[in-house]
Amino acid sequence: MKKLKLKKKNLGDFINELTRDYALYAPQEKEGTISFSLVEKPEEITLDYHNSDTSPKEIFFPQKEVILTYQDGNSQPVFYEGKPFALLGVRPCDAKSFQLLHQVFSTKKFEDPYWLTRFKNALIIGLACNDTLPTCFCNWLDGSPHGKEGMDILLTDLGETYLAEAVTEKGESLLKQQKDWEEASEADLKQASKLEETALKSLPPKIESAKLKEKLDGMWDDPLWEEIAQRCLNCGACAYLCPTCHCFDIQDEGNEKNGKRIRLWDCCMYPLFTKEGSGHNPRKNPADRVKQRFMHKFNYIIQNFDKYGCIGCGRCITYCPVNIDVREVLKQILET
Amino acid sequence: MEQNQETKQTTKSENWEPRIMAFLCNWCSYAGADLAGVSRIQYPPNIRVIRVPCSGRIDPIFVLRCLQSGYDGVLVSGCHPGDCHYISGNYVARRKFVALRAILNFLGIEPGRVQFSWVSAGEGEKFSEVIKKVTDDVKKLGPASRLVKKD
Amino acid sequence: MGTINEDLRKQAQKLLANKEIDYFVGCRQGTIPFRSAPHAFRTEAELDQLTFDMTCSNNLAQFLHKNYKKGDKIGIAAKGCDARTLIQLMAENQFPREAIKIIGVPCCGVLDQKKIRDKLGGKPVLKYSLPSMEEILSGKKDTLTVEGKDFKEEIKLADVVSNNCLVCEYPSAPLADTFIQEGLKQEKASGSMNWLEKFEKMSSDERWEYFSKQYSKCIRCYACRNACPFCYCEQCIVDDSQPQWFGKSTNLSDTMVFHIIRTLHVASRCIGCGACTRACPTGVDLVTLGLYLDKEIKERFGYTPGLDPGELPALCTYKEDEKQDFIM
Repeated sequence: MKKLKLKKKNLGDFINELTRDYALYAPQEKEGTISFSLVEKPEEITLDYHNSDTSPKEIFFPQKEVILTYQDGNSQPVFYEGKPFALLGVRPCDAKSFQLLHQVFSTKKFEDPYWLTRFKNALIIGLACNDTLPTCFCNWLDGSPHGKEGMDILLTDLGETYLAEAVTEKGESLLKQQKDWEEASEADLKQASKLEETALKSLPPKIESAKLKEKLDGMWDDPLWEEIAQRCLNCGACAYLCPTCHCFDIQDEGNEKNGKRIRLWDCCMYPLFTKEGSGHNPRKNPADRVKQRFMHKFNYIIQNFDKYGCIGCGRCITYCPVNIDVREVLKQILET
Repeated sequence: MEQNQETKQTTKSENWEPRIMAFLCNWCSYAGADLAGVSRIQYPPNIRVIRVPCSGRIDPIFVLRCLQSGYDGVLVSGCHPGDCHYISGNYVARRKFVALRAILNFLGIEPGRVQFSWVSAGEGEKFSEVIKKVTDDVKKLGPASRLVKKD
Repeated sequence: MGTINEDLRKQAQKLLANKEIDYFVGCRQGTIPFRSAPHAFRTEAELDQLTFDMTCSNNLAQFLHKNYKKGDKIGIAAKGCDARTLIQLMAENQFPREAIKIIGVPCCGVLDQKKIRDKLGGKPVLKYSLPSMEEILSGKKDTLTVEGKDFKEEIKLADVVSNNCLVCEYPSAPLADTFIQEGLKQEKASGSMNWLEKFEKMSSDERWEYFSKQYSKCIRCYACRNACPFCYCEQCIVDDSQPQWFGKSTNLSDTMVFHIIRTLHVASRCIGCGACTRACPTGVDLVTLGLYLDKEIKERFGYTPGLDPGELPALCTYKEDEKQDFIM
């Protein structure tokens, strides 16, 4: 696979090139919040960032998506019709989350056309983390600050330049078109692997994550859930910022003549999430809902898709108003 | 109360006429409106009436929902203080209205959009005056746009 | 007399040892800078984790109320706002006065994590040091030191304290069984900058623009609602489906209506603790609306919530001869 060097001063040209063929999304700061937004001008982008406050999953799986409209008795599904998406500057953990979501939304039994329309043909250009956050723990969950999973191209910041490594055929062919980018030298590659080493060292010491699933198998009635639920507010901040949470709700808005059907994010922390038509709620207690969150991520998803349901980005740790730290919870699970 | 054909037409046409929702209490204001009707007192045809048992029945969400659905103005009218059929419904409502009004003003919703009045069953004339004033005020403000639900 | 923390632990230990309470509600140091975790301390051995400082930004009365079961006897370390919340909840008959042992702690405001982040431009803080409560309260120190990968900065506490603390009129518990270090009791927010003045000077268009921008950041996670000590309805109006009063998406109109309704539902009960704003992951300014309404209600009805457990909230009662200048 090709390994080239992109000079930082030429980044603008590359971005302009991307915006021609793609709907390009990159981290941008608005009102003090960094999120992936549509790029109109290259100078709006901030690649010098740790990680976006909201997760980039919202591009392929928007918080609110109209999936159907109806008028006078006729209905029509609505699919995304714009240019294919390109994401620039995605962190390795978030890129990995797309892979999991793709697996969830395209199983053998069912393929979600709304996800597929958006995700298909998407170009993911990742950006390796040279500097990690104190809340990062991707190394616990098969991830790495320089991981390539889920990307087409991986960029590594080498100071004056970005090292651009093709990961997929698609990335390779895009790099082949870049006639004026230099080939990366041995020294560059060495520098990149050194950066990776430093980044890895800055992460917290690993735990025995492989044992999580087995441990959780026996923890259905554990008092741990009650203990966490004591302070858990049962809000959706963790789920709505989480790059792998993918539960949704379908709502109809309109009247008898015309209207639309929208898909909205939903969250297992809300009592309404499992409330049945009869009024019965199988997850009535906050502790049950807390259990669901951790069971889903570290047991059910592992069982169904053979990977962790968490990628270790640490957003939930940063934003939990009552300091429920998933790392602490995982340690507690292993200790039981 | 969903935004229907009617709103779409009114907002674009030049001789735009506001649509105003009037919540009238059963015992006083609704009867006042009735009296205005049987006494053939003229008032602008811009109001749509919803009869409620008491002004105390008005949950602020009703008013907000009207504004969301594209109503250009909302009037809430009940019995004069001391005349409430349920003794204290309008007193409690009055405090609720203070809070609603304060919050809407603070957020930047024009004060004329949401108005309140006391109209008794014998005040057909006053009812017509109130409707005239509300309609005039809302006309001056133009079609509602803030808080109207758009896609 | 020891430090505030020592005294607090001593008090809690006494209550637990004498079996006067079933558990003590306080804060534990968090796992990341500037966050703390509310915790129910059940044993004396746990108490060495009990702390109180400017990072204890959660409303502990919310935690207490959420976990309260009839018959419980609970002790609590209460800042002014925690105590006022308790008083207000007592006025709403949520628990009897005797069930709660209120230990008042002197407070000089709590930190707003987002303000610190904005101040540092998002650079992660690895280490920080806060002066002791005694030093801050006595006015000896007014800065905090933060350290990151390649920076070390001093930040003025007044710049990163929560907005609601800047206008706080009751930093000390108006009702308490014991007060820790009475001498350090604060009477009123020291920096009493009137946060609302800025908004009252704005035109209505400017305010609309400001609030539209704020509410468009909302992701409808309901952290504000759930962190609020007064949002304890069995089922929230948002979750009603028959009828569904307003949409559940991030549509600006729906979002605004949600926040208006939430503010109205806690009107004359909100004591301005700012828990909503601090819980918000996207930094929506939520407390301003509540503070404004609080002020309006105070001016009009002469009522301040959270001062008297025997008094009904202003919006649950009335006076016959009240000013009604806005009613035709």
